[in-house]
Amino acid sequence: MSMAPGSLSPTSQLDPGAPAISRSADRGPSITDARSAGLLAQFALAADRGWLTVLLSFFAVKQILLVFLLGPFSGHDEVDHYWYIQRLAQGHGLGEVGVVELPPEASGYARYVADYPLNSEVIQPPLYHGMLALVSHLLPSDTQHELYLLRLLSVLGGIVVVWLAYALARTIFPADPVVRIGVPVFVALQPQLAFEAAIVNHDIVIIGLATAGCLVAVRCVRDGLTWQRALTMGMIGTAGLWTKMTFGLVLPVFALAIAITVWPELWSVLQRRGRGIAALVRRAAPATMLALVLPLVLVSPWFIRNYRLYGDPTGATRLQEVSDYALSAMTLPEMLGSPGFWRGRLDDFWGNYGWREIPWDTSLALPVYLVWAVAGLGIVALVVREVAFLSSARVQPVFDAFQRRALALVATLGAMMIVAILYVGLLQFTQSRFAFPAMAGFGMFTVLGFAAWVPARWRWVVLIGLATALIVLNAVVLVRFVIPYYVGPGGGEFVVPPR
Amino acid sequence: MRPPDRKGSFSAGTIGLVVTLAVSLLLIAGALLVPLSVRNGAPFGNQQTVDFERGIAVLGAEITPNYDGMDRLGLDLRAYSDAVPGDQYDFIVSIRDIDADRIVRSVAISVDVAQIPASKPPFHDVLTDVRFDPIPDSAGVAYYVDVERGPRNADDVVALWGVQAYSSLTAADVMEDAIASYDLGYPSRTTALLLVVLTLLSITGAGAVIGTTTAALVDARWRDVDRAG
Repeated sequence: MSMAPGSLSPTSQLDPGAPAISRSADRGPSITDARSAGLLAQFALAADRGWLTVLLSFFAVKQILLVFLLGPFSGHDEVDHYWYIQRLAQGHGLGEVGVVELPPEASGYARYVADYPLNSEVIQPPLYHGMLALVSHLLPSDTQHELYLLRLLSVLGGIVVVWLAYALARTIFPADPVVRIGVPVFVALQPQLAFEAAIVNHDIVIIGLATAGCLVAVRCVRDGLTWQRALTMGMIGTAGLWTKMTFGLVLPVFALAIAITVWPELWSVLQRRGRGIAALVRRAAPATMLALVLPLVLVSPWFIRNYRLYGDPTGATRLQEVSDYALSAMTLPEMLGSPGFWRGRLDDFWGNYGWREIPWDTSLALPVYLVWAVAGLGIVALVVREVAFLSSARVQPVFDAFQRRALALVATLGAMMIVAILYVGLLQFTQSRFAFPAMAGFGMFTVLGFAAWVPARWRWVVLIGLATALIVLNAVVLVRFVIPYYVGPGGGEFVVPPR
Repeated sequence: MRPPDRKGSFSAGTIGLVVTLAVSLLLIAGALLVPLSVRNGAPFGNQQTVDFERGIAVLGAEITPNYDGMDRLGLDLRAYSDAVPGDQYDFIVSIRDIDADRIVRSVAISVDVAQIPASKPPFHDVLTDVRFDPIPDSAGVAYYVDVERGPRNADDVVALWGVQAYSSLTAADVMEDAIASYDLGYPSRTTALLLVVLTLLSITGAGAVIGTTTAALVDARWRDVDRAG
């Protein structure tokens, strides 16, 4: 960190040089605190430019390698997404689920299609596919080469996601280099996020939009709610909903950010038994309209289209009718009470490549889960300490008020994404990638969880150890499982498109 | 005023450069020298053990390794009995070259029933390792893995749910094979050049990430010490 010593107070006690934070901080960041955090974040960016450039460059290179190492169309739903893009590029319109079939040239990849010969992905709102359809006109007509070039756009999306993860960490913990470095490193080296950022799929766009939305929400809490920030949240929400309907679960994060920013006035109104409510509504209503209502209004044509075609706004009913997806559905108690369900979600989160045909060996997976659990226990310890601080004057907090509120937003995004996993599980087979829009948050809580167990002066050593371990993990997984799947007579298939 | 960049005779930048070189070299050395147990890549990691012609489960499976030097099997065995933990099950595992009709390896193993439960606990590794001398020239050869119960378990019900096969190879061996095998739709020399360059850049990039982040963290730590002192 390159800030001049003594010029600004760091805001985090994870930083060993930070001063103790008074209990009055709990009432909210003062203007000075917020400005300090903003200025610190600017200083941090200047200090971090070197390693961040190296990290983003490394991410780009290893992702391009992954683009070529993953067999064509073996990403999840990649066949459907690719030919949805082609369909739009050729001017054949949006199509209807249960009616639109894949073209004959997709037959070689039938094993990688959930419901062959139907293209189930035409259920998705068309923003991602429409944009790539425009790009598709500029690309070579050879299917394999075009696929690789479209995958490279996902790599670009991944670079943006890593940068946004850094920006989020820098905004919340500007004075703590361990968190600023640890969060983007975790996101860049998370094996399944790397998989998402190397295949043709709209998930990487959703991950980027959700991370950007969370960042704007955190800045609202830090710097205040403005028209521009509310409009930015609204535009992000609109783009997200036009890319994937589950983005609706990000909107509660925006709502919480607005609620936090108007909380002093709201508390005052409640104490005065409703007096002043009109002023509060005048202040909060425009932002609420822009951030929450505007996206729903702008995406309403898609809802209406779905309702007219399928009888419900999302089209989920039709999807269940035309496929056997519903056979894999579970009830909420079944999911919550099943160790096998959670083992499956851990497997999804860390390592299920290539149409779920390339799992890790359990002997590798279990140690990774155990190490990650240490971070989970660290988070529990931090929460207990923060709760103790709020109820006792004798306990020193770890975070200041702004950080607590920002972490509440990040945690809310994570919780909503876990809701997404469970919601999809009620309808069909579910997967952990539905929670990946909160990947920066998972990275942040992982770093904070590990940091909770280690004395401040040794945290940097632990972080370097974890980063090295993640790099080795990625390499070992590629060499032991992924590449062998695509190579040789005993493997899966590296099916080359016909020319 | 910026605090001094140096602590003793080293700067954070020097440390970063040294770490970058050290990690890059270690990764390259590891890729060239350290053997990994590479799975012979079947879908889901397993060869299924169903005889589809007869519609029954069998205690055997056909495997075709990708690589030479197959030296390990992972058997997903399940025992359906009233045995209690501590009871041992005996098996003879034989690997037969199907075309040559010749048994190339035969291994006797004894397994605690707790290792092969009928109901697989979600967080338990139920694979039973069977190790043997590497089989040279195993790549592309079809083998039949046959599991036979020992005399004291002859009447017990045991199922074989899957077979995984492994060879010990370095990362360099695996990449060399991939470079020779992958068809990216470009001329083979272009494919080879592309994969080699990207692999080397990834290795040095990984070293540089560790080096630059170490330098940044060391620098920050020294500033904290300076501030405190």
